[in-house]
Amino acid sequence: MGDLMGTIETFVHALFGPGISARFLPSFFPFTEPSIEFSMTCIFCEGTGCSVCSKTGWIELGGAGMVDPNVFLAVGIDPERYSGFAFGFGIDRLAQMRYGVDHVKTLWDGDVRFLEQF
Amino acid sequence: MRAPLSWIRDFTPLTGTTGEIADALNQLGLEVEEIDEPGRDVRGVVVCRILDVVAHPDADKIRLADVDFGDGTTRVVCGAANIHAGMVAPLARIGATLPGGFEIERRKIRGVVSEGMLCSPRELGLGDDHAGILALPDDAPLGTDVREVLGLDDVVFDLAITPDRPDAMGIVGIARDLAAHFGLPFDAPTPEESAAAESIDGATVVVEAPDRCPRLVARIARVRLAASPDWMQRRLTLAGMRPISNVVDVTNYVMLERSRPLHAFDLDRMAGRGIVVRTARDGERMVTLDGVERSLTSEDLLICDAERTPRAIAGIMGGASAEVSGETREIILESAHFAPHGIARTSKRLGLRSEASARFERGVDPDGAGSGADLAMRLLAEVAGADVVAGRIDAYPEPVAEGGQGADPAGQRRPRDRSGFGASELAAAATGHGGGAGSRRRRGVRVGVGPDLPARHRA
Repeated sequence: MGDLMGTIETFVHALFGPGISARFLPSFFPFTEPSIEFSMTCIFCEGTGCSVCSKTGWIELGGAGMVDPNVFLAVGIDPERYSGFAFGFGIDRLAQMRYGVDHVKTLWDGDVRFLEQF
Repeated sequence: MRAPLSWIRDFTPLTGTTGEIADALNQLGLEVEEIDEPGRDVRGVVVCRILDVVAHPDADKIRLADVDFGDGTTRVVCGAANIHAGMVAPLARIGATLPGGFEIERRKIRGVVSEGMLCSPRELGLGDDHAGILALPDDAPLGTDVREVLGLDDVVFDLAITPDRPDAMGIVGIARDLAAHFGLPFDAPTPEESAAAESIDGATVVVEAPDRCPRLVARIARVRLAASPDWMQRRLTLAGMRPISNVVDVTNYVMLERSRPLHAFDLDRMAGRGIVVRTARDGERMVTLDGVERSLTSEDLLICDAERTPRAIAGIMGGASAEVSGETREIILESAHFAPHGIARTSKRLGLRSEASARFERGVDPDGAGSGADLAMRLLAEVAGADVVAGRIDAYPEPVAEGGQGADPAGQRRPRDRSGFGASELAAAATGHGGGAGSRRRRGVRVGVGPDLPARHRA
């Protein structure tokens, strides 16, 4: 679990810089135990709260957790020997934060003038 | 799940600020989606009594009301038809603000000065009713802030409950977690359980599919149908349910408070004075409470009367034919445990989800069936003048072992310390990685209150 959290934090720092932190909240997914949701400091307001992050100061990035031992058992891997972590990022959300796009929908609009900037 | 703060406080003496409680809920894995403060925009509105209503000298449809607001009397101009001497009503005084940023000023209306305004429910942000002035309870103390009288000083946490937390589908479960988080006492008294019998008052219960319905508790009461009292209606409304009648409201109240769905049937319409639980025949049809005719399959579980006529789709929705109505004099209350998968399948196939099915799908504590029914009976005696028949029928052939899968209020998951994924691992993660994590991370995952510990280990 510590490795998982450290990995996500390293990832967020590498992509966004040391001023941006990761936050973890307990959650639930059927295939991980325990499960977390992770967020990063909102790059637009740097955590003070703005319209992009709905005044929370945090932008949700994705879900993660330790692979449920029963998942390992189901595919014939010994959960007593192996552990693993699983995580999924919202790729559009990441791009939005990386390039400072204030509306995530802009990425999906298909406006060529916008897309040509990448 | 909408959880009003005042209701949570029935079970634990929470004192923190709204922000602190919201942070705690997030850390507990009960994600706060929205914080609703219904009375936030209502300021300076007090309780008054109308002393006299006189005609406006220069207009037909508006009148003048002399009102007593505790500290004095004044005169306001009002266009509503329902005002009368003696009525207790909300008075927005000069300087008061109402939802929408509306500020009350001293105004001349057709030449007469109005020292404030009597308010309709809509003007106070209480829904769409604008037909007349809101009538307050006759015993509301004059001069008090209407937010106190109407429960508008409450805060409602709208929580996203994950599927592993059936215990948090009730106010008591949320209060239990918060009590543990803040180190506060927790007390959710349950009534002393009634005695179990094969038959009460000539009524019987037969469960033909015990694998689908491992337990069914039934109790009987003679009731006087009416509206439920203001406090109960207020709580149901804050929690997002529509008040219907005292009997239906009690079943919903217990469901919201204890995560214990209940269903009340009109006993006079239950032919043979009893309940039979059976699976449906393929192609069998019945009309549910919402007036829709449903086509059933042999996978669906039905609550029938003693002559096997379907009266409810078990755990999902009641039928129209034995619905509690204005004529109901006697009810049989069903408090059952249903196997989660069956409820989920039927609910999905019919595209019919309800507050009850959302709970049964996640798993409801079978041990709570008896006390939930008894609690409802106590409330019915209080709010429906119920004459409660002693004893209960309890069809529970194979009691679920304490701590067994079904009995675990936190659902199907048990801590797995042995395999290294339980609390001890969380503890290591939170402390061993403190260096670069910053205080936010340590706030995010709290040792010992992680989501994998069953609630009862925390209380």
